[in-house]
Amino acid sequence: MRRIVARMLVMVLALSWVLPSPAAPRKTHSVRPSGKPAARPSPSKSKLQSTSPKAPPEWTGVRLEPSVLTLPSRYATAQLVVLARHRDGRLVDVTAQAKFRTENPKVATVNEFGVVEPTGDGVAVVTATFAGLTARAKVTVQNFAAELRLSFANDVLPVLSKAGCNRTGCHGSPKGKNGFKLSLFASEPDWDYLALVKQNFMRRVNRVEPEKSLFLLKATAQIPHGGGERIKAGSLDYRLLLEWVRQGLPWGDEKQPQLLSVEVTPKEESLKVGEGRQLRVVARYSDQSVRDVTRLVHFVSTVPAVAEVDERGRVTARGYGESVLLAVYMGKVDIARVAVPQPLPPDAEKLFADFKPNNRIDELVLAKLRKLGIPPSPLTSDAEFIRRVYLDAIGTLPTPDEVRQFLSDTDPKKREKLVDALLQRPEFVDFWTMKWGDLLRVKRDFPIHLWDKGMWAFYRFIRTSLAQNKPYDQFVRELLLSEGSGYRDGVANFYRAVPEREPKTWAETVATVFMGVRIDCAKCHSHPYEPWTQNDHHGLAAFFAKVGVKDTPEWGEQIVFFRPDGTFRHTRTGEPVKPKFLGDSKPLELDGTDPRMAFVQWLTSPDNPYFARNIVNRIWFWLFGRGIVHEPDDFRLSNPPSNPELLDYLASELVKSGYNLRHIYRLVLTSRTYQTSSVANAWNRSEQALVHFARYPVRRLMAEQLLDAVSQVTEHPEKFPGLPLGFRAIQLPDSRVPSYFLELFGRPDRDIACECERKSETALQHALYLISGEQLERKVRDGQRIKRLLQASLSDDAIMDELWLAALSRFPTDEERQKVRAYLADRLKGAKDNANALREQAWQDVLWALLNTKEFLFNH
Amino acid sequence: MLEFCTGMHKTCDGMTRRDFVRIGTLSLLGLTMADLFRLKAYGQAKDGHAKAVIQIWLSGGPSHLDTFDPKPEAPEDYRGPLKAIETNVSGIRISEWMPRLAKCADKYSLIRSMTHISPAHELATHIVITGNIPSGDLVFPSMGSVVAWAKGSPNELPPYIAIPDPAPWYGEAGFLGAQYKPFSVRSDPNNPNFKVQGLTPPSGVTTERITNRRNLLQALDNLARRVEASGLFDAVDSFYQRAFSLLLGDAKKAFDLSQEPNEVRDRYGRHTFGQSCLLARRLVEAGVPFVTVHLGGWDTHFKNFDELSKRVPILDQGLSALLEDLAQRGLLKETIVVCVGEFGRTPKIDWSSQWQGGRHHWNHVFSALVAGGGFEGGQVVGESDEKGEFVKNRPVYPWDLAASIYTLLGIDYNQRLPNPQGRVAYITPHIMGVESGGLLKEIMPALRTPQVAQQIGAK
Repeated sequence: MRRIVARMLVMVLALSWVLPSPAAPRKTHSVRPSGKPAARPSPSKSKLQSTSPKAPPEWTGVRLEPSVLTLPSRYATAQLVVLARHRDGRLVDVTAQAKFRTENPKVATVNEFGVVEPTGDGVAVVTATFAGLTARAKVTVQNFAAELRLSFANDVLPVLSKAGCNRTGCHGSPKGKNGFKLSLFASEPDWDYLALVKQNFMRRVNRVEPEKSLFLLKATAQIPHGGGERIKAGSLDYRLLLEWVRQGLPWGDEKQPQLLSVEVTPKEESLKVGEGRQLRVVARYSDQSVRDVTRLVHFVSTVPAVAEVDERGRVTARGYGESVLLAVYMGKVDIARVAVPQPLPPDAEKLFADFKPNNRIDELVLAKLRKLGIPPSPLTSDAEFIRRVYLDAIGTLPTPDEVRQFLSDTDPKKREKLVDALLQRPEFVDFWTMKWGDLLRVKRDFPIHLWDKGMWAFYRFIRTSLAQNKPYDQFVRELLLSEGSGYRDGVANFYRAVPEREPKTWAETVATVFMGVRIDCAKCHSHPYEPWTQNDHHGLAAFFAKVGVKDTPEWGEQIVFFRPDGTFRHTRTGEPVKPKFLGDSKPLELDGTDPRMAFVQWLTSPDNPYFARNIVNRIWFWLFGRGIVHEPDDFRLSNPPSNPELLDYLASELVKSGYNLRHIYRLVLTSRTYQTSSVANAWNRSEQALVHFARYPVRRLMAEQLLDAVSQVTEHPEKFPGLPLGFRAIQLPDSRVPSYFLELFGRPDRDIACECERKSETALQHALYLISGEQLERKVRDGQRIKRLLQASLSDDAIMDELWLAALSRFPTDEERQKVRAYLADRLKGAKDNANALREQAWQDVLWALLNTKEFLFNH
Repeated sequence: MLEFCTGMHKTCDGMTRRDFVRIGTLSLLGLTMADLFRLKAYGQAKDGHAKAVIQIWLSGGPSHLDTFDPKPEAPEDYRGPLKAIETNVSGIRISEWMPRLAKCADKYSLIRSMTHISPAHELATHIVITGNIPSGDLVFPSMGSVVAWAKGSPNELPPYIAIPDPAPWYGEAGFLGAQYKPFSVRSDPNNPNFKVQGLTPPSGVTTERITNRRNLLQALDNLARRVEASGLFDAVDSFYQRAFSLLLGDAKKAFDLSQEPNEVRDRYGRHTFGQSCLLARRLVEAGVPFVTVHLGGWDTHFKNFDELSKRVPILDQGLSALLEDLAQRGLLKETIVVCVGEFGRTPKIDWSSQWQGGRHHWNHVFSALVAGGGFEGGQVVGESDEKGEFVKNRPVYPWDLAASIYTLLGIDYNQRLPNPQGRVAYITPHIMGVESGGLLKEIMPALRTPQVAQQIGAK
């Protein structure tokens, strides 16, 4: 396919010389903050624009990267990249269009993709020709004839990995395939060595006749292989594997260099749709050596709809937005960002200009939107804003009076004033106590088992902390260092509120909740895209090895205490594990002190890369329904923030403010970004617009918001078993207060500490419930609002005002008024002495309809 | 193909996870495209032998010795006062309190060697009803939710219906999410005023008024015109459309037991369980792929025999009526009936004054009944020992039972389930290498056709 495209391009190029010249390309692209051009001419199209005999040649130069290189062994290869200089100064990747040639095939060859392979010792010049221009690279091949000892981990395993042998669906699956099991993504090289060389009576390898080695015959499909042909017989990879068998299957020696990191270039790139870019990846080793490993890297695009990447590292821009590309090599990962800006007509500029930053958040969001060519939606109306900010900040709908007052307020600062007022409301504490209750799993019974007393004590601790606006670092410190009775010292329930009260579960909980890191996978296997290994997981768990939990004579009561003799043992080796900070290479040597102290100090230090970022990202996620890192509890190199500068800024604000969470709420809620309409314009309909916050995402009200809203609008308070009438859903202490409504609409069970446990999708049962549920009908029928309004003998219009303000936080439109009037008239047609009853019913129908509109059910 | 704990929704080649799992596992089994098409013809997740499952869930854990696995030769403090009676299949005997089931033993098979690790209700329920062991905090979807996910529903009716409510704790959708939750009838089908919430207008509201409200809603529901959330709002609209057509249309007649002749209703038994079974039959007939009938009260620590005297005859009447009715209507061959609880009960009776003839939790061996949908009748799979304490031969683990049912439905039980955290979770844990007794091939004739067996990867 690619070849066909390349050939077509060549034809276009050839043709273009005889076409008449259109106007010279406009240079409208300003230089962006990064100093890179926003877009470049594509090699094909700009050719069309350069045919005027007077114009200077379109391409003024071409060069090869790297221009000097050494292939230090007969199995080393290198990826060349051809960059052409456009006459306007920009560099364009033309690797796919260039013609490669070697001037000395006895030393090195080069294929159509620009990959250089050695053929003998010496020096060769490799050339690339594009648009009549030629660039040269000097290639030195060394040790071609030398018998370099191969290493299983550094040479063989990368080839098997690239061939896909150890993926989940193949021999990397938990059970292996057909009796042959490799560790997933080569996470355990020593196991893999045993599996390949020793297991099954050494049947998989054949030292006497290396070519007859079973694994080679299978991989090349010379004998039937479930996975088909993975490696071409005779290829460089094949020769390497064969040579390794010939050498006697060496594991490698102890002093062999260790892989330290991989590095992908370019790190950032801006492409137009259809344009391509060749990535290069080098690996760095402990002996300072550097190898080009592009050929053996596994490439992944996080948003293929924006940019695809093939197995050779060739990126192709497919759609507007930004994608992050991962280069994965032997457990090491590096990323490259590719921006594909949307071309916009001049009138779109107005949309950017309309976006007047309120604070630094907006500047950072706007910069990103400009870079990607995604114009933001306009400012929300006051009515939309008040409903949105009430729901997001305090989980509660505004009352008609509150809406009226806000709408009629003429103070230009009224939105800021409203935000400040909301942050002081008791409902703010209710609502965020609920959220923290989800995360910290405040739940009386299975599988958390705090029991009633512990559940209430923990609830009160969280509630009090939020009501005091306790600095966040202090809040976390208190949780992590807690000790005492679960019934009497609420905070100590932190260590009880997990399904298994043991170090590894605590470590996983702390990583998820306070660092946004999912380290659970690493307890069994290394993560394919992440540096986390079992050692990281265990090292973290070891910080909690000295936490003890014991029963007391009181039923269900437990004491959390410091247990000086506690140790955490490695699940595989049984050896005691020393505590180690996540990402550090060396474990900590601690004297007898509680290792939690060291951990908390590390966690809450201002330089901790996770702590502040995690919580500001969560707050952002809570207010936008989408994190800057998304999902919010999935921080990892391979899931980078959509706007890193924004995340860093918010984290620094949190630290500067003394970990004042309300400061962050305030910053976000008063930003122009938060106040952006959910109505799309012509250029921000895509998912990418939501990823970069060009418009406010529409979300269904969460279960508790919805139930409280229905109760409030109908004026029919919900009665929860065991709690007084008037207790609202956002005030419930745990997920075990029975409520069919809350269960149906996705209240989290609080079994796991993942934000994903709260469900906000819609389902058939929701529709059935809202249309014809008895509970909802009871609220509509018996609720006081309609009765009260009818008794007050208000006009139809006044009743409509009240209902619309209560449910939708706005006045009805003229069209809506007409429709309702017509409906009422219709229902009352031919009414006699039952007119009052019919009128009440008709108004109930109107209320019912309002409760079933998307405008009510969704936060928008 | 890299997708592992990442939460990424697409694999690198742009396939959705489900596509990947389906196609991926197939190609890795070494199947060619031609095989794939043959497999489709056999019915990968679409048209297996069975179209539906009726799950009779006996929560609390019924005594296997006093129901399907009597031990008349065991010492008295094991066998208890109940006698074993012959069935219409020679060699199979069941409890004397199940005379009706005794007359139709040719229609069902008994598994007398069910076993798992947990004597606690919650965990045991999870294991049996999901066919999976919870892993850390991973709560698996129940079989009904998996079937709802894999098969969907052929009409407006919800794909997973629980009568009158789902099995406690884990009869739910687990991590699959709310749209696969069971639709609970939440009302007693034996009640003359039986009405399903949501499917009939609420009290005091006429159908005409529902129609009026629908029109009014359409007039006022205009947010979608202003806001770009098309995918989301399209889904909401389609749910509303389905809900209204359920409410105003004919599909809900499946719930109308008054359409059944009195003799039929009597045959099932005029009790909640009997009428629930009848309702289950009507729902399956109407195309619902998974129905749970929940009959509780089997946690007989105290006065086991007194308690069972109230329960077993009810079970006998309702279940036998269901089997015979399904058979008569030709539905049994495409409908799986499975009757099981979370575990059995201690074979040794506790005659202490505290329990007065009680039986406690027993997970080491217990029984299940399966019928229809490709399961042969008149057979016994596995055996417990002389006192009914342990598996004597051929253990059947809950995931073996689940996998067998999925196989008959044409659902690949080695598929990965979508998990919101991107965690690795398979429909059953077989691929993870758990202890297994294998599929119930003794009573699954389809698996004896080597070609078919190979196609579905049965071992």
